[in-house]
Amino acid sequence: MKIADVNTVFGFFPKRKIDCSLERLISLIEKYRISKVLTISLKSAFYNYVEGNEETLRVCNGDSRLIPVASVDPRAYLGGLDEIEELRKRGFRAVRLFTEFQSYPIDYAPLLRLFKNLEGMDLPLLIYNTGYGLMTKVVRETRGRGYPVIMLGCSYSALSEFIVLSIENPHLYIETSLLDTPDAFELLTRKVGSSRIIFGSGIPLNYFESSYLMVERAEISEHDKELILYYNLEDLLKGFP
Amino acid sequence: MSIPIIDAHAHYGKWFFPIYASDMRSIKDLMLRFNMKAAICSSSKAIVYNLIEGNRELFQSLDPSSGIYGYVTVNPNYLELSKDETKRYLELPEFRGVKFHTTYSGVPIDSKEFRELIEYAEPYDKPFLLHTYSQKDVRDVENLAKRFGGVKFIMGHMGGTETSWTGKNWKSAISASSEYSNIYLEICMTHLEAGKIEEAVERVGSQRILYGSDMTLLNPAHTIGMIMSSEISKEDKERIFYINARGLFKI
Repeated sequence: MKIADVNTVFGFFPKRKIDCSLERLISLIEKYRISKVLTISLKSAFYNYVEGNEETLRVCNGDSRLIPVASVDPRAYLGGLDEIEELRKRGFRAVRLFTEFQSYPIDYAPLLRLFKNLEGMDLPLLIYNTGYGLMTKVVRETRGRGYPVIMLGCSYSALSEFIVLSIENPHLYIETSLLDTPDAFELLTRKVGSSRIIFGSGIPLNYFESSYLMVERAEISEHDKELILYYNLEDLLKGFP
Repeated sequence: MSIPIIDAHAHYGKWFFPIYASDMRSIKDLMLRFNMKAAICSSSKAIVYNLIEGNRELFQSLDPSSGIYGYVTVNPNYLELSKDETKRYLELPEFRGVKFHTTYSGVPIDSKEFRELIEYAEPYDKPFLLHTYSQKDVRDVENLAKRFGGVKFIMGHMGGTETSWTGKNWKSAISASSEYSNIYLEICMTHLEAGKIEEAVERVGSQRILYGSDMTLLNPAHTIGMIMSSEISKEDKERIFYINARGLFKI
């Protein structure tokens, strides 16, 4: 089956010794025959998002498998609308927030402005779920703004929150890397539909086959697996380059 | 999956999350789907609520002919009851170890009460599976391993992970296991940090690393995928998936 991965990174990881280089990412893409990845430089998470965005664009320009994701760090964002419009014009296909590393709350003025400024940009927003209630606040602030929100890093503790929210919020999606209960895919497919589930692995920080095997061995239809592994993301991005 | 698997960390029963694959039939289905030859289960009810009810229900559901064995769960808040439970179940061949969860009981691993339970259960010569999810938990297991050299301790979740993304918990667990030959590492956890299995194999050796799924809370595929993706030899994978547990639990 074709694979598109919404959750990959490259660069340098300062918190422990691990090879996160672009070369490592590409070797994993080739090993696991991944067709497309959304990817972003870790420089955006740990150092400076403007420089990180430049690096992301530069490496993605040379390889059609790599789809550039921009980041905005609310701790440094001054609320400019032009800056966000520029991201779209320059070819970024999504925006990612590194809530898992940057520790700001959702109820935070620069972030609330960013949520507003993303209106009309048609860029999916990727956010890492860091605990109970975060998803509820994100949905409250992004409802009706016209762009999809993909929650990354959701495990068993996020399932009920996602299911309850997604029924009334069609812009909400869930990424698969930590969907680790024995019947998460069966439950989500039944309750909210497979169209709301987007495959992601977190490589090279994570082991790839955990995420893949959970989809491959799920007791859902082959059609649902194809949607989750590839076509849902393609639809969301209105086609891959 | 062509490699056979023994699951050293499984549960029977419900959790307070939307999981419906929690009965014995679901466990057997999962075992079949992932080529598991045996699973050592503890009762989720005994861990999070009532050890008497939970251990009893587990006992009534065990099925060694299908490879389903048990851990008796203890709760040091109820020391005498825990001793009774230990005596009642560890004498039976269906039970292959003791399970203790420090978080749900609120009792530290290296506590006077739990040490008393270890002394009580030591003659049965069955391993202890301990939930570890902090550096303190790891230090506590180290203390016990030093004090009870003849007892085998399994560090459930290999020390666990934490929100700092540094891997310091599982790195501490690896260090402890490399120091004490009676500490085994069981590797299931929600976070999928690449490199941890390679580091464990390099520093401890694959002979004391065990596959655990944490089903019915977690999907067996989650940890199987970690091992499949890890850059270790096929022989190491076979030891982790099957051979080590077969020896430890005498299956």
